[in-house]
Amino acid sequence: MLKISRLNAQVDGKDVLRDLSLEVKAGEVHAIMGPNGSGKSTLSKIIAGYPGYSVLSGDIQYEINGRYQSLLDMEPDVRAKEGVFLAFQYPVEVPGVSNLAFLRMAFNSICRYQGAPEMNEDKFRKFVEDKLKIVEMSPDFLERGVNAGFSGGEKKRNEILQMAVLQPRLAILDETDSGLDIDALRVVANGVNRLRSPDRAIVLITHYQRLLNFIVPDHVHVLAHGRIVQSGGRELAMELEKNGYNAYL
Amino acid sequence: MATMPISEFSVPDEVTELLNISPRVSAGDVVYFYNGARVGGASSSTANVRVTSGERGAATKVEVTSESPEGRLLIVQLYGNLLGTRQSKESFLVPCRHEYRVRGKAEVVEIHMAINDIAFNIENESYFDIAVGGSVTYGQAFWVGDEAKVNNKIQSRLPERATFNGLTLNVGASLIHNEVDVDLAGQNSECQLRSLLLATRQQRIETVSNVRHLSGESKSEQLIKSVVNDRARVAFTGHVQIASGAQKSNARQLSQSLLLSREGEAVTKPQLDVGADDVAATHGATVGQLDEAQLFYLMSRGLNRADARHALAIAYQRDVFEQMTGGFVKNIMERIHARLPAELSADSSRSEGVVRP
Ligand SMILES: Nc1ncnc2c1ncn2[C@@H]1O[C@H](COP(=O)(O)OP(=O)(O)OP(=O)(O)O)[C@@H](O)[C@H]1O
Ligand SMILES: [Mg+2]
Repeated sequence: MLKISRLNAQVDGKDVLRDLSLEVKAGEVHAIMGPNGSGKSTLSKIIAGYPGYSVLSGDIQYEINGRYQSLLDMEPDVRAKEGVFLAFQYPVEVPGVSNLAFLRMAFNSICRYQGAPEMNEDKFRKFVEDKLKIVEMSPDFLERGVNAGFSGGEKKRNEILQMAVLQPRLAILDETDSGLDIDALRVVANGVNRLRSPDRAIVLITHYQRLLNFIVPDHVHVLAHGRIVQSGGRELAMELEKNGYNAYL
Repeated sequence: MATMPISEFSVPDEVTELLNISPRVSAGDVVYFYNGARVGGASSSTANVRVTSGERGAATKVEVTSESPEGRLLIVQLYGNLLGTRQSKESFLVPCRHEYRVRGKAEVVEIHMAINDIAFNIENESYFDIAVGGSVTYGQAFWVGDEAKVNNKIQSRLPERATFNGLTLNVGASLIHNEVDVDLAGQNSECQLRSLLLATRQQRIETVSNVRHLSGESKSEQLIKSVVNDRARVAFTGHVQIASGAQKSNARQLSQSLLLSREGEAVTKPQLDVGADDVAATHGATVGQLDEAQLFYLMSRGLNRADARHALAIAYQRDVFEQMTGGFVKNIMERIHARLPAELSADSSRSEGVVRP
């Protein structure tokens, strides 16, 4: 579903990703771990299409209707419409844009793109209220500005709510488990597990192997100095938790 | 240039629909003018709102004597020509004068709308005479085409305990010049002025406000927000004067501009003249652009660039309406605002006018 090959990228003139390669197949869950500053968020934002980063070489190929295409020259909204979703490490506050209106705009623009019927306000509200239950959020959050004044944990839940509404094919969760209490962790994991299916893929960026008790990954990778330096199974996460990243620095 | 004979004029359905004349605004509260002459609407008066209008060009007098509920009135000034076509480049002058006498509480909306894009000059004056303890909530909108020019004056003198709460909206016109004069003449008088100025293409909007604190414990609060697109230009000069006897007065002024294009321009000149020592006077001005992180966030969920820009530009404008008290005024003004064409707030320009984090 996703093939990243020898990606080199800079942020403000600084090399952040170096010859990074990664392949994610449909139906799989991958976990990416790695030291602070190693490039995990940069990678995820480049996949989502953040314009502030420059890709020097390499490619990100994404499967659309059985054909691989480069994501690099697609606008961020087109990537979203093709099923790419990033749960941000630091979700952005957008005061003045109502959470519900925003969700509906996003949902309907994706529907329009995919030729599916759009939902009117009433129908959509019901649809979202069901999703709210999954993330255990109060409907009050729908009337507020997008992430405006939300606590750290509430922002993370809101990301999962968006994911549950938009039903992406490729979901990347950048430290969605950081700053969550135990209950919220279970809620997030529940949201992710519901999304799991043979035609979807999930990439979890995390610092804690605890999350992987709730969402069991097929593959675990270590990202250090802008590249994947080690890949393995579930046991790699446990080993990292025990020994840290010293071996890779 | 031939304008439509008054006798043949009927208010276009789009206008009544836009203003939602019924049921939210009962027909009895509306008075229509066409090119400055009265053409219909309310038989001119509910018990506590009396409207008298003279010939074209003469003042329309509105008298409100009401405590509870507040006296309400919607004045709709429409401008247009005979066939709705642009036959002539020659412009004509439409003088409008409104004199509001308020004893008690009033909610007044004054809407100036062109029903087609023709060349004309509007010379408007709206003058408020408010009694001791009286209060006015006032909404004024100019929504005209690129060929129009507007010269607009709002004047109000507030005696003791009187309040004036004004919201103005400017859209279109090659040039709009606003002059807003408020005298806080009495102890404890209070005014709030909010403006939303939306300029595109080569439009220019100039606003000069003069707020004079002449008595003690008076309060003024101004919020001027503009959204500037293309090569438009918005200028605001805000004079605040606090006279020597006006102790314990409080004056606040904030001017904010959102630039959506590289060539747009926003200029603010605050001028504070403080003659008393025990007062609080502040002013601030910001000029900003759309936030790239927010734009990316919205787009990453599937909104295309134009929709995302529009959503952010609208969000930016929201607080102009937020603290508005009068439901009648707020409703109508928000309704007009919601109907403004999207390109006003966010054109399709690519990543221009964007601040990188
Ligand atoms: N705008 C920027 N200007 C300069 N350097 C930047 C910028 N954005 C990111 N970087 C740098 O790029 C590197 C990678 O950052 P990134 O956020 O991808 O790390 P990360 O692996 O997600 O770290 P963490 O685990 O702390 O979230 C860091 O050294 C960071 O300081
Ligand atoms: Mg990170």
